[in-house]
Amino acid sequence: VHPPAPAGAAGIIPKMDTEVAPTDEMLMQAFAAGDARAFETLYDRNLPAVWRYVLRSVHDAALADELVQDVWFSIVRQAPRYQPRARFRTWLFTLAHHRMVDHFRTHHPHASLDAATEDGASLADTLAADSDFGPLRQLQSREQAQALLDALAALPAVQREAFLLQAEGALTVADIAATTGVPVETARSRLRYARATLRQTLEGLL
Amino acid sequence: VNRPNAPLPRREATDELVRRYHEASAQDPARPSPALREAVLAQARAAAARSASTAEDAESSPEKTPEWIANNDHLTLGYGQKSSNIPNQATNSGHHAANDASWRLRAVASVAVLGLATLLFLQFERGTPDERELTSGGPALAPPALPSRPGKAESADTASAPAPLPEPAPASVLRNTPTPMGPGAAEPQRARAVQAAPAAPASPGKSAVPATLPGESGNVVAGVSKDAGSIADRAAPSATADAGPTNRALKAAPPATAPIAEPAAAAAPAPATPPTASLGAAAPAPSTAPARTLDASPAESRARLVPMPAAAQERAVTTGSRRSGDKRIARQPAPADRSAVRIAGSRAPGPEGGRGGECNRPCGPDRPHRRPGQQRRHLQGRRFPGRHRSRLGRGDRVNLKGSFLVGQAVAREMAAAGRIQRRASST
Repeated sequence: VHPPAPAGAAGIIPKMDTEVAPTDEMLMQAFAAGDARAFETLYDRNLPAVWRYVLRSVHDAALADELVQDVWFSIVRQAPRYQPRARFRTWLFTLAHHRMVDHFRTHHPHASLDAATEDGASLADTLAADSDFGPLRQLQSREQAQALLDALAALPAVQREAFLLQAEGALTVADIAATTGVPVETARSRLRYARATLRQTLEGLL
Repeated sequence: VNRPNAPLPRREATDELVRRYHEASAQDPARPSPALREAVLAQARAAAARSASTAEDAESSPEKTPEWIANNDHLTLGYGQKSSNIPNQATNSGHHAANDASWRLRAVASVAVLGLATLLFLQFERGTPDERELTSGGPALAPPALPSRPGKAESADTASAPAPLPEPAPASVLRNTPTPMGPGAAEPQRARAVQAAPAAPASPGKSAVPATLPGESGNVVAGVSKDAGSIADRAAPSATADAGPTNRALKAAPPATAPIAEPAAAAAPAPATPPTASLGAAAPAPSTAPARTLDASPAESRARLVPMPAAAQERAVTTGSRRSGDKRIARQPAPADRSAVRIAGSRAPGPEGGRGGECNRPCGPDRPHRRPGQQRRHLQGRRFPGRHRSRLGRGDRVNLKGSFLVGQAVAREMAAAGRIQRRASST
């Protein structure tokens, strides 16, 4: 999934092993020291996941580009003050989550993610109907994948977010809770419901 | 499946679900736009270039000054903007942090200094005006004017009669003369001293020079006693001096004053002092008498040797002494004695000649009042009795300042009287 780090970044990042790919934290520290290639590596490694995470949440590729760009700009600005106290990916998805929350508060003040929890099904249905992931426009080989994505889009927003954080960001339940700002049990419950719904969808397709 | 408390699926199932999701995402044709990548990487390159230049400058300049940081702080931040979350060390370099507790120490020190200054100020401001004048020094220490008729002391009314005087002192002289004290305060005391003068016993030939004044004649003692009595009289309202050597000398002075003053009165009548016009006879305000007339003439000098009144002597001997064998003069401190310092006074003699009578057990020569190792046992049953623990005692109020000034004035008068005596003897 993650692209290999370029060879040029290996000599700049401190304590970087040429045989083992540098971690995200090391790349971020190298970028803070002035290494642009380290950031390029970091970007290429994490952009698809965070972009998909945003795309599955907003269901708009252009809007996802805009939001993800803001997220990466924020990372660039805060690079000199970055401290490797937590995983970089956790920080990245936290920034993406906050940016989406700001977006929903600005553009959908009456249909936020929290409000969708109460009426998540109707909102998810509406979003799924407007999306470009209709199963009728997919090829036969991609029907199952699209069905899964549709099922994911049909999930309540908080459940979908929890699942996306786990699937795209490879975050643990604790990290999901920290990213979304909810208790661990709440994050665990959301993740459990999301996974149960998706599993039912997959079993129906198979 | 929808139970909220249902356990999470196993790892294999989780991986299967995630794998399926990633497969579905891989089949999804949606991708980030290339413009997004270019924009983000361009911004990152610019930031990296600034960071690199900052690092190079840091290496080239080993020590960064606050001015340098102020001019280059934007290099450490993205977009050339200063973050509001980061405290600007350059702008705050001249100031202390808000949570710095050093200002408390400075505030406490300032308050302490102010309090000390206030105490010092009040120490010299409280008390009677006489005390303040005595404290101020110079003029108060000048020898006061003397009545023009020694020996035969007159009352204030008779002394103010202008008949014996050929010419009163000029007013300008009187005005320019340093006034040791206010007229209102000095005149009654002077009158009391003059009135009490005849009561002194006249026994010529006996000069009781105190042991503390070796080598001094009786005349000197007489003059000293008189002036000291007058000074002590002025300081009497607030001075309860401990009986030091000076006061002991003053106390022994009365027998010696009269015999000296008697021949002085016979030798130098009052009209013999026309140039300087003894104030007691000429000026209605005796306190304005010129004090520089001590060396005018031998007759005048003798005329100044007025015996110290008994009352003044008694007042001069302040009541602080309670030593064994001394006559204790009970005196309650005046209300104005706010500046008086409470110090220790010696205890009254014990029942068997011990040090003090405040001990609950009999003390004697064979059984000292307190031994080094017996203090705790001695105080057993009387925890912190106060009298043993503290040397301060109620009523043992001594004005150290007044005592010192009185002693200083006495010393000056002794020196002046010595000169007068020598001149008188030479003439």
